[in-house]
Amino acid sequence: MESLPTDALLVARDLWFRYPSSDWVLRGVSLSVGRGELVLVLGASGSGKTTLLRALTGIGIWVYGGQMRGEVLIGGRSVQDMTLEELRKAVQVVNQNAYTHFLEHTVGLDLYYSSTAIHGPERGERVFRKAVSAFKLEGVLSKRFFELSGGQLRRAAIAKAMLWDPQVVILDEPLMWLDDEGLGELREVLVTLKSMGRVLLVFEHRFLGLLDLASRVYVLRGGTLSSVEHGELRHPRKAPALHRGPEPSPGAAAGGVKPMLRADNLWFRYEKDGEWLLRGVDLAVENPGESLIVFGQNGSGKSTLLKLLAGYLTPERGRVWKTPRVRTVYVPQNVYLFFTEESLRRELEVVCPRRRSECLERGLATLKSLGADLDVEASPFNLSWGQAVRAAISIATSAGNDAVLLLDEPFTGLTYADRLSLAKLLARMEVPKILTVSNRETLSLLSPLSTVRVYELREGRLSAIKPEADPEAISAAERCRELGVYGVT
Amino acid sequence: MSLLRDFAYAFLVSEKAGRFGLVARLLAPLLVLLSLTLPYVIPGTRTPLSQTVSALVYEALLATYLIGSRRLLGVFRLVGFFLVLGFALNLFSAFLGFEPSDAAVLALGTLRMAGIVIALTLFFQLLTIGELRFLLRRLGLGRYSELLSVAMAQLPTTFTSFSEAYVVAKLKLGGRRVASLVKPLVVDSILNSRQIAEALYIHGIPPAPRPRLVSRRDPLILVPAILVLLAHMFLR
Repeated sequence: MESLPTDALLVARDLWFRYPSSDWVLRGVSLSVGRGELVLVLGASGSGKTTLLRALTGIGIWVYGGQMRGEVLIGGRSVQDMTLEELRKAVQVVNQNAYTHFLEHTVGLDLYYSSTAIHGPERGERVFRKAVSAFKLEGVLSKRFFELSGGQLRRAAIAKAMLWDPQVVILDEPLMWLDDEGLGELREVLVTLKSMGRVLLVFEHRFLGLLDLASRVYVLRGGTLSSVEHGELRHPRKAPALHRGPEPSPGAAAGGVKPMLRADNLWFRYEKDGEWLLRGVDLAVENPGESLIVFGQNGSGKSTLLKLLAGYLTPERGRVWKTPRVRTVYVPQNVYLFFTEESLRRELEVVCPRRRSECLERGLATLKSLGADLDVEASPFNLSWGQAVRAAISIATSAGNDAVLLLDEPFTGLTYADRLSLAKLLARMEVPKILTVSNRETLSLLSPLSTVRVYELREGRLSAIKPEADPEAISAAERCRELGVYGVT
Repeated sequence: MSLLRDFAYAFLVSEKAGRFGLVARLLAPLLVLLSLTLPYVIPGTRTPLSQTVSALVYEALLATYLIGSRRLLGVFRLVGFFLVLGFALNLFSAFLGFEPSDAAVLALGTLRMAGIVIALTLFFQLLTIGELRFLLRRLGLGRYSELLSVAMAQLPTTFTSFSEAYVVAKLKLGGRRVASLVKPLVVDSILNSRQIAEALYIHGIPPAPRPRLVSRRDPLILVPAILVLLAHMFLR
């Protein structure tokens, strides 16, 4: 066991945890974090990161009825001896899905109600104002939580956690669905919290952007925690540059070949009198095997563009044109919403209406290539996130090369190794596809996609870009795999 | 889908609601609801078209102020779709050997039903989730108040998931068995509910502060609602 410093604020000693009728998920985890320290906890999907979070906060016992051995001390007191209110003042959690933290639709109202409930009317109002100012929420108080950008949402959720003035703050995958701007905002908040002397425990897949803030890095593997040397993972925090390319010209680029799917001068807005989200977007998928990447920040209209191409939304101006027999298959950001059947085999059967046996054979072969132990009779809902993304894309691909795949942020929530593996899978699949990406770090991992055109969607307009390859990001991802920080799950 | 989006928005509290006191915000939709349900509550009561229209006009003005005319139109369109369907089925029932109801009575009933749905949405536009929790707790329904809070808070994100699952199912299954979207939605709700339970454990459900009961602006919404009710009761 690692020797733990005595002045640590958060200490876990030989922690074992299991859920009712399950095997031990944590097997002797020891951890100590001091005031003002940020500790990164890495681990593949299913390695027990979320379970560790639940064990540290008591959620595992009180919400899930699990069994725990060992002890967790915050400020020298065992969490098991604390009342619920004491525990809330000692440790707060920001969930992966930050939407779940809000009970009022309006951000200001939610924070105000919480603050006055914790501290009483007068002090509550003061704490509320302080939190709003510290986390720069002045501009979003009257907004609804589900209308916030990713960065604003995380800031609001962290502010809500800080109303309790906790000593320890645990963030579960705070970068999930965050674009570059959101990452910057989150880093600012983390720096503020560190300067306030809080203990920060961050569970994150996309950790390179936070590495320079971390005091220590741990990896959770097989239920135990081991520390990793920073230097082995260190990667300069430099977003790869984007160079302007030629403007997209859907008709001309085809050189007389009829595109499979084409968007001509698309204009779209959700509100009749609202701002235009898309302003004259042109795009064309010209041949099977071609990959198009639409890069843009959160809220830039990437998902909307995919829905317009799918024919699910109607543009206010312009039109979407498809070759007869070409169909579109959509894989959403929340990949579990893609699965509608009870087994992977059944999933394949429903996407294979034509040339059934050939299609099934091809689909099963692709699924099997994802992992030798992948059971095609198993429920897709039991797959890890990484497996689910690759399975969904493989199933969608089986629809044949007369289908255009629309993939909404397929790289989000994946480990670096998983992202590389997905990029290679996409490169192997000779079907036309349009995918969206919201951060430059991911763009830099996409070099395996050879036949690729990259566009940036900004202020409603699409422009061709040439992202600078970032071999360091790729080698860092490969290094993660070598170190066993992440295996391909 | 934008129709459904507008309908979902009709169940969200308006930022203008706080300009009125709690009593007026509670009573205004309640009085209109009472007016429109009188014929159902008191058998034999008949209300002419003009009274029903007066209730609808009041609702339309209030909802336009709270959520805007476009969203109100969305509510009307969706409610109208189902009502027109029912109306048409009733008229065509003669072909099935039933005696159809009088067209004028049906039209009046249809309008009244639209008014009832809009009155229900007005409750949600005028009361915050915290205030609903406060009221239900006062009525001794503490446990239900918490369930309602979570359900209402998650309504918009549930709608987003529904919209995503719908697109997937429609494209993937080619318009067949679109009802299959229920499966991923149920799984998504279960996964979400775990995180909600964890968030509730760590934050708790705060008791809503006692809302302001009255405001100087209250007569603006209360007096017309009282007039609508009186018209329904006494003008025959």
